[in-house]
Amino acid sequence: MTDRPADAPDAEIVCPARPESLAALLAFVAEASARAGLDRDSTFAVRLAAEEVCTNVIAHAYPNGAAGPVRLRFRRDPAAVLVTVEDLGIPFDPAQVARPAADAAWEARPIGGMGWHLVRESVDEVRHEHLPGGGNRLTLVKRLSPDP
Amino acid sequence: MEVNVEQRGGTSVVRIAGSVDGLTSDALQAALHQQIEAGATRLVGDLSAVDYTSSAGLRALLGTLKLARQRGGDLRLAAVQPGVLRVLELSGFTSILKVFPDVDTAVESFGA
Repeated sequence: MTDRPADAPDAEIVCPARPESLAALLAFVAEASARAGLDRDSTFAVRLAAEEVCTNVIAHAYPNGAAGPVRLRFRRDPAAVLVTVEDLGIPFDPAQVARPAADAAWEARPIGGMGWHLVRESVDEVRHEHLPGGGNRLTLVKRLSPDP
Repeated sequence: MEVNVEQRGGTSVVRIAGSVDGLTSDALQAALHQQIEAGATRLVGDLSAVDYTSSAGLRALLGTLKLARQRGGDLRLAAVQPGVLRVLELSGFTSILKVFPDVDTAVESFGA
């Protein structure tokens, strides 16, 4: 049996927003999901949304080769998992990301551009805030079905 | 992630095991493109042991699909597990990629 108190403290990791940090960020999400006792489908969905958001921060938050931090926080509530991703980079509004052409013929299909679409589809809610001192906070909410 | 290639007649069966994410997709794409560059343009991706893919994996698959078709071949998938299949469906990839229930059927679909 998994012991998973609903009021477990938040877990958190802070890394430089660079490609070499992705392994640590993904490992953090995997461990936190296991500790929180998520089932297979929720684990997949949280992992996917977190990877896409972290990849986006690493690629776009800090232009011109600068690398500020990316902060990832994982919280398990009784009815949901909340993953928060913060950066101190350029403003980003996910509502402005165009939906990809998922029905184009293969020749016309662009390689890439699917990340945000998958984030929207895999979690129940995506909240975005501009941080007061500059930067972004994205909160991914995955609601959990009650235990059988 | 591990990638192993087996030749079946004129078709390369690429068995992928593990997770295809931002850490592993470059290696997968390199392995798939290596087959095409070597002249093996008929590819079957055996995804029976793939438990996860992100958009990074989709990029590797689409890049391979385009290259294989431009060279007169194709990339077809077999035994895709439910979570990975859902990502393919959400991305509209099941409308451009042929997906088969098992490797044998995918290999046979290329004909003799």
